[in-house]
Amino acid sequence: MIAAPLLLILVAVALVRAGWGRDRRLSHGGWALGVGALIWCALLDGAWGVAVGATLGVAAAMAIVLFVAATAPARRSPQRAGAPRSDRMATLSTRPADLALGRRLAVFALTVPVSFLAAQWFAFACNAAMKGDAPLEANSVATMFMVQPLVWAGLMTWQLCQRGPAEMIRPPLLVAAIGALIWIFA
Amino acid sequence: MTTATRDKSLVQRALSGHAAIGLIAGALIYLIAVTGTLVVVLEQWQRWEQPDIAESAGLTPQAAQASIPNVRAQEADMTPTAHLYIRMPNAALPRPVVTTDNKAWYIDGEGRIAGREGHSWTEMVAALHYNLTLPVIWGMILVGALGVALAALLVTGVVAHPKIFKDAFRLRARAEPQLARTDWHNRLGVWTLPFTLMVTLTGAFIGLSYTSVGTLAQSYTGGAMDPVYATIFGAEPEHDPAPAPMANIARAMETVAARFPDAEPTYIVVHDPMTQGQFVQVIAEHPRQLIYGEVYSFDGAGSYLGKVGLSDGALGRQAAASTYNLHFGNYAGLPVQLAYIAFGIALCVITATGTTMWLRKRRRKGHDIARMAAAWAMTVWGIPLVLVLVAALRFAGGPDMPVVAAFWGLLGAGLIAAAAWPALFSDAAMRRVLGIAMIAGALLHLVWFGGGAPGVVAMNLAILATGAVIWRPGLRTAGVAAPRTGRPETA
Repeated sequence: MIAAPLLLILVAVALVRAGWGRDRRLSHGGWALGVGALIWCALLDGAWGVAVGATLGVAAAMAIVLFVAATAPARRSPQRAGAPRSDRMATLSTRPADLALGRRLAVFALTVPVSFLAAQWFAFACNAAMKGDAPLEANSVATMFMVQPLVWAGLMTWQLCQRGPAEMIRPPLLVAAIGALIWIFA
Repeated sequence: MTTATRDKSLVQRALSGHAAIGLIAGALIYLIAVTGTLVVVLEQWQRWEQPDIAESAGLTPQAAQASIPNVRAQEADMTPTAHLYIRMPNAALPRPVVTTDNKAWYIDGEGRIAGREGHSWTEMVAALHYNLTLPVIWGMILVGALGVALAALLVTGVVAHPKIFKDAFRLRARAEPQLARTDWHNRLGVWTLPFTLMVTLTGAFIGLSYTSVGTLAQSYTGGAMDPVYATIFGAEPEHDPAPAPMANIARAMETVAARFPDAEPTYIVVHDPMTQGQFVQVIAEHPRQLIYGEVYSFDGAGSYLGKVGLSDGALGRQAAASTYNLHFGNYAGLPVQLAYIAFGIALCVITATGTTMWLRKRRRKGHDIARMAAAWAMTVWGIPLVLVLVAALRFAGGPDMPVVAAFWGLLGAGLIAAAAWPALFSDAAMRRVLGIAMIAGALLHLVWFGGGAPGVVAMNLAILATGAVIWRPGLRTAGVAAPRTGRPETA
């Protein structure tokens, strides 16, 4: 009966909220309970159970956040509030226009087509390693489907945390090289 | 370099990358998020678009069989179809539909034609989400790539905010607008992260699978894509064009009901109907499984041939068949669908506030952002507004109105107008117009069609409530979209 672990997930989210910023043991207990309840869901109903449990957990957390928003105090007067906290906000570089444009084009080229190709090659190598000399079959094909976007997203994230285009070349090269090794030994 | 310095620079770099992706892909991601939120209840929209069609809760095997000659008679002057699909009625859309390569027809519980399926607005919304109305393969690849970009946005967003989990329950909704906007962006972002990552990666999987199929086809099957797909979704038998009587789909349906009583048929597919090579597939949902269905195959006489194995075959088959329901939220009824809608709205807010925060930052630096802010307000509020206007066009002119051209034309004109006359496209004005348009649209629909089925009334009530929330007459808001003025800030 999945109702029991689902109920536990609600309790878990409530515990996480109750302990947040106050009692860490409570918060950690909530996380542990949530993980345990999801495992229970998995044992009862497999992937479907995990999906339902995770959806409920996210929905419960979002409901709490909306409640926090609804009960948030009105803003203080500007004199009392002082300057707004310096929120971390995104900025882009302020280089000369032509240099910035060239840099951005390079970043786009490296994170989109180059990384796409590296991820595609890596996924293709995984497919080859899984199937060996046998004909195409479901597991290796589905793995390729899943690995490609995962690796590409990982590459894009990795590249965008680099200092500049020069450093962004390494991640796709490394992934492509690993792909080549997998291909050779497949 | 100290650890702190290194961490700080990583945070800054991640933030810069986060901004770069958001600016390049933000508008399209927002469009996909808005339409994706609507697509969760696609069948309910279809019913809402054509509320005056006769409905039936079920379709017997005999009625399904009887519907075929009726549809064929309706299409006597058209090219004989090579595929025939019968969509079984369900609670969300209690109407059987027979689709051919030519058209689609609603049928009643006896298999008689009940009307033409003409839900062009619903189809447009779906096409905007699936492929941005571009040619299917290229459009789906682009949407898949945007899914990858969104996944990278999510991860760089977490990396860029080291305190994002520490502040996870801090939401100063009534604070200074920029602070409130930042809190909405970060809090909704962190708590919907599991959902958003799952949805974006399953979407990327669906869209980018075309590139993998193409690669495998070029490498192993001489460029033919069907054999690659067949490894997961099953193969079709050899085509034999010699004429034959219509396939016995009633027997196939009865066999599924007898042999697999827990399975719930959703589609009956007849390949190459009325040929010797015809065969029937019954796609049936399995309760408490994420797969979109198991595929049971039959020959023309209705004899059982076997199943593909999506429900209990190779893990790859089960996983691939599970991505669709997981992505669209169609696996546990209305409660999960409502949760997906809420998460989808959250993603819209996250996307909208992200660019707005960037615009605000530029304004604080002294840049004139009036035109960009107006264009962004047109994007955020204008996309749903244009969807409302195109729905009105479809109701006024019928299902054959050029809704896709109207959508892009109106959106393009709106963006140009926003850039030309930014004062007219303030955040407040745009949201007011959208709210009023939604309320007026729902009221008109209720009056025009006289209410209709409870499901249709519920949709209109939902539109009314959403319109009222968006309009929010008399209430001060933090402003989800563009800053209120385009003037540079002096602070």
